[in-house]
Amino acid sequence: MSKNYFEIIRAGINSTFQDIGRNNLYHIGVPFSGAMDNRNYLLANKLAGNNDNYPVIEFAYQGPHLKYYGDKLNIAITGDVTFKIKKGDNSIDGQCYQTFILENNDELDIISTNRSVYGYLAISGKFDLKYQWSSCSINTKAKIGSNKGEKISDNQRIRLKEINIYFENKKLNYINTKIENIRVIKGTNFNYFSEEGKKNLF
Amino acid sequence: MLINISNLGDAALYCDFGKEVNRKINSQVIRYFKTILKKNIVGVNNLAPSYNKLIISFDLKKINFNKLKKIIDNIEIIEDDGLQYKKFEIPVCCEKDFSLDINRLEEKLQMKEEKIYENFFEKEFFCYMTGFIAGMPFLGDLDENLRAKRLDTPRVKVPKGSIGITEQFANIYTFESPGGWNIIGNTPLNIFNSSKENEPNLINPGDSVLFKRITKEEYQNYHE
Repeated sequence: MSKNYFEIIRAGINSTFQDIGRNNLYHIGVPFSGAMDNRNYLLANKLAGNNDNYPVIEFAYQGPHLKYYGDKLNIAITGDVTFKIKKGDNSIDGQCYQTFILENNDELDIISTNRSVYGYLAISGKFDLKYQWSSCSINTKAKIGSNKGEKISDNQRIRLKEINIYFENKKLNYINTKIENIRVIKGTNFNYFSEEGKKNLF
Repeated sequence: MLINISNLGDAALYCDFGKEVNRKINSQVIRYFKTILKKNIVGVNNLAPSYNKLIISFDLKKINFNKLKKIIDNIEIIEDDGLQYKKFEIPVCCEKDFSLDINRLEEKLQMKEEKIYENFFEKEFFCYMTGFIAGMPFLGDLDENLRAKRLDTPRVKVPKGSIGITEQFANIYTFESPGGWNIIGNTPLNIFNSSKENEPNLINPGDSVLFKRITKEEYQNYHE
């Protein structure tokens, strides 16, 4: 078993492991699962030098506070997120869309998301997780996925399966864009709406 | 009889088998669903069968609406004797702790508790579809005299294993969940098992179900 792990000091409101997810189980009553904000999920993995489908920690509003034990580890956080990295007595304000190095005993406190609901923490490597239907995405309603289908909880340990030691620091000039317009095409039930309803919608 | 195929958004196809909810129409939906599942059509990534509709989602990079519609229009449907359906006996305990709405049903249906159970346990049910929560089977049809509306105010939490009835259907809550069906008992049997990736659902569309009444002692000592 790997000696590298995170200890969860505070789990946050809704912190789960997510990846690209599974999208072929509607017939057994299991809805689509996977990262909610696909763009920020992919960017997190890209910054960490991972394959697109590697699992990350997804958090909403308040994120987790983690303490790291192990070898040097590169991490990246995406979204619009306020977080701090504590190295001994020093506390560093974190920046999204760039990589940071965590060392033994460092703490990562993901305080909150701001204008985005979801944020993503990717490590340069892999968490040690169980896969179901080729995905470790957690579906808490059906108790499916890694972590026995449950949210990440206080005091639990998250073990790492592998660390990419050949990482390079990366930074991306990226701003979460505000959606000004939603493009719509008429669906099969468009005629169900009244003329007034259609007018109000557009 | 498949009446119409139309598009649903840009990456799904909507097969309409009619408006009524009955076994005859639903059996057609199931035959199409099982045939398409077996054919493993390239580009199809999700199938959602319901009482009288089948939604087929697809990957636009691999197939489009017109191509898939043509395949479905010309598909050779496997008839029932070529499909595998199962029959299950589901143990149900109806002690007071589990039959949360039996008194309410006595009033709604103007029928004594024992008569309600007698009618319920005599019936062989047919699984129309699974959904709402993972593996939850929708089982029909209840006798006319057992049909009741949902609760006026749904429960925030219905216990796992609860057996609910409403209108023409019975169901089994595979997980603790919000719900508004009239709860008449609870089964100790695990209906959804995610560790069995090939067959997580115990009961699938087209299968038959008989409920068997058990005592609280049998419930507590039940081992699968």
